[in-house]
Amino acid sequence: MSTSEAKKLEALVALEQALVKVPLEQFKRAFKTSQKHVEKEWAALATSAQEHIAKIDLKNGNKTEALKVIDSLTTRFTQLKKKLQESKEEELLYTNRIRIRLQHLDDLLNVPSQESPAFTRWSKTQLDRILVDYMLREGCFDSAKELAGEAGIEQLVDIELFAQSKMIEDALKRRSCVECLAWCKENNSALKKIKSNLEFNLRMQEYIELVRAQKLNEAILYLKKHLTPCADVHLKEVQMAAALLAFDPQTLCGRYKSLFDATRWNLLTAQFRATNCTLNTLTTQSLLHTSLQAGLAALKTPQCYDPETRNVNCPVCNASVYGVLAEGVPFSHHVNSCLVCRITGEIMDEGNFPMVLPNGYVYSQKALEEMALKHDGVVTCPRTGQQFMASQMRKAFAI
Amino acid sequence: MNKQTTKQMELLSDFDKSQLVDKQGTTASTTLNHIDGILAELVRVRGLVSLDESGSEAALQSLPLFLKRGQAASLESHKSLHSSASKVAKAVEKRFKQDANLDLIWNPRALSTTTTKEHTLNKAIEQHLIREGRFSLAARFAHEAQLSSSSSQTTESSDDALNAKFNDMFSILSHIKQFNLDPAINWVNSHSTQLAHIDSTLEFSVTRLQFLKLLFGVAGVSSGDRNAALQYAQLKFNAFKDQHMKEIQKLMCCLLYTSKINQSPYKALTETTAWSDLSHQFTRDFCLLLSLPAESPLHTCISVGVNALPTIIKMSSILKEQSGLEWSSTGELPVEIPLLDRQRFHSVFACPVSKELGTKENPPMMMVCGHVVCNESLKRLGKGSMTNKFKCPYCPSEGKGEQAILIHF
Ligand SMILES: [Zn+2]
Ligand SMILES: [Zn+2]
Repeated sequence: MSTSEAKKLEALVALEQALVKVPLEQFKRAFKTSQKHVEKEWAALATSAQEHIAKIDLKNGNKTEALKVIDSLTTRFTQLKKKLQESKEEELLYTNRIRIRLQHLDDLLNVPSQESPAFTRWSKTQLDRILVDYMLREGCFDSAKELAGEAGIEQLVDIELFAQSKMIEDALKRRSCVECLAWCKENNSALKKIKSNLEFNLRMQEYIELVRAQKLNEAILYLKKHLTPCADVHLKEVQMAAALLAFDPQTLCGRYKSLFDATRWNLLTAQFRATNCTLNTLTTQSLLHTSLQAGLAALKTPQCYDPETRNVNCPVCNASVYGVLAEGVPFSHHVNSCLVCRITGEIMDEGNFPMVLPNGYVYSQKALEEMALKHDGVVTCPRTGQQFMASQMRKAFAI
Repeated sequence: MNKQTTKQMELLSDFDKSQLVDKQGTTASTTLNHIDGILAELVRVRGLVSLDESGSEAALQSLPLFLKRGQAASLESHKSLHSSASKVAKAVEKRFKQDANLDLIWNPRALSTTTTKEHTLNKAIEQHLIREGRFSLAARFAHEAQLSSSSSQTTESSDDALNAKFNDMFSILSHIKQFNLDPAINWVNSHSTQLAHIDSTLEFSVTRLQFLKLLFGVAGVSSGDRNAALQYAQLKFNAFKDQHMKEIQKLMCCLLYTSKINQSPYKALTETTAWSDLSHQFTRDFCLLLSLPAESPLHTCISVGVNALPTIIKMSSILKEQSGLEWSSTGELPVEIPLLDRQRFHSVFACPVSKELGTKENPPMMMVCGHVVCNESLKRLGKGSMTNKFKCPYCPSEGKGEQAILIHF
């Protein structure tokens, strides 16, 4: 393989960082949970066992006490075992997944060329992955799962991650912050690292809902407990929150009215989604959108919008679908001549000359010679229907 | 060759060196074994205590230490797993250090400004799924993405028609996969006129493969039958004698070699790739008859797009720095995106004299010698007059502007 081809493949791999980083983050999280169980819970069990057992003297009839301690330890170690089994299973899932995904990227680096069937296969799988990701982001879970299953790419897509995200988003749609707050707690340190204000916004919303319901005493307690401690960072918002107590939810006063606005819930959902993507090193936009935009721009030519020069194989020429999608993207840029035969779709160059018929229409030598062979030396111009003798065609020097 | 082998499975071998998978396994078993040990010990001590056995006091008192030892061993094992994980994380960071931030080049206004565009995109996906033969999935997606409720009656029925046509295609293809050509033969027979119209050789390809199947059989499906093949040839090949005589001669020569075909000059005719080639040709011609692209347009767009992204990322940051513009809001991309030959659908003509691109207003003109320049250049070469004689810039031939003809690529 040429170095430029290898470089291209390398650049394609560079686009796939989320493929590896997502399961790696998931592994790290599962590992942290396991470690916490061992380091904290197990240690605490051992310490409390020691305290209890030290007090027991079997000779002085503490037998029931002893049995009680043992039974309670059995229960708690059984629970600990269950929790550890779960987190270990998750760890296993994600280590295997990382391995499979690295293998998938290696497969790309090892294709003989971009013209090879191996590359086409890889790129079809990539499209399936991109589609599953899009479906997950659009909330089409059943379709996503079915496609992942049919294409056999369950390990290459992040269904669990989006399922968890969907659960929290649905809760927010029901106007419940509890699930999202629990998620914030789980990811506390990571959220701090990116200075996220998601938790504050959720608290603010819970507070606003208390005021909306005119549960003012509860609201004041909530304000003191959850919002005023954040005054060092969010002073203005906390002041506004306090002032809100003075307003009726039907208020028409500008900035306070906006606090009562129901669209704040949609903003929370969007913020959660974006934050979740950032924490998991996912892009906030689906790769389908980004690559489609790029692809349409790379393909779009003025000829696509001229019925005379449309090509059925060109996506942008499809006026009702891709032509519409391409409306807002720039045209492609070309510097050098590159001639495409309208019959075969092949490139016309020194190996397959462009031939001009007497009517000025140009086709590839291969296409016209094949046609002449089949029809006793007669060629028909597919665009005008005119017929000529093959001997009438001339080579054009246009490159 | 050596260099190639060291490069193979590069990402994977880095990962395997970290032993993450192994260590995860040992950590899990160490941890769970210790807990099982503790649970067993608890059962044992409980037995001793409840029966007032002699060693019960000592056994009870040593329990806390037993619990701690297990914890310490598990913790140790976790530490070693942690160091493996850090190695992997470091390798991944190093590998993906150029942070290709795809979000930066995304312009939300370019594609989904309106709900109609979102709807169009979902439609495109549905059509792609149908083309891929994933019919039930297409229906499920249409339902989940609420395509049917918002689309008009006409697009509904055109979808159903598309569905039915592709249903035909995939059922025929699945039979070809099982080495059964009967449905394909029926289809080409009933579309004979249309196929001739697009100059398709599909009819002959199917007939030819059926002949080879009869003659040599297909391993595990059918055995060869020379008489049946001969009969079939007499019945069918006559219709193709004008256009495919050479190939027919070759096929008939096969009859002489049946048992020793692998040592004959016609060995290539028995290869199973002939079946996948036929599937490919069938798909292409089928789509052509329906005036549909031979490849899924969504696949074309996405694979072109993914290939273009590295260039666009680079160009986008330069553009933003220099002019503060978003790449996607310009009328034309500032750089050329490399395309594979199969991804080029329109001819680009750049005048060799002026470097300008040919347009309707300034079309390519072919001079008497066969050299092509744009109309503007032609005028300039003739010093503003089409009747002035001038020498071609690329060859010794002379001609006038008026002798040049307008050409269409
Ligand atoms: Zn086009
Ligand atoms: Zn010339």
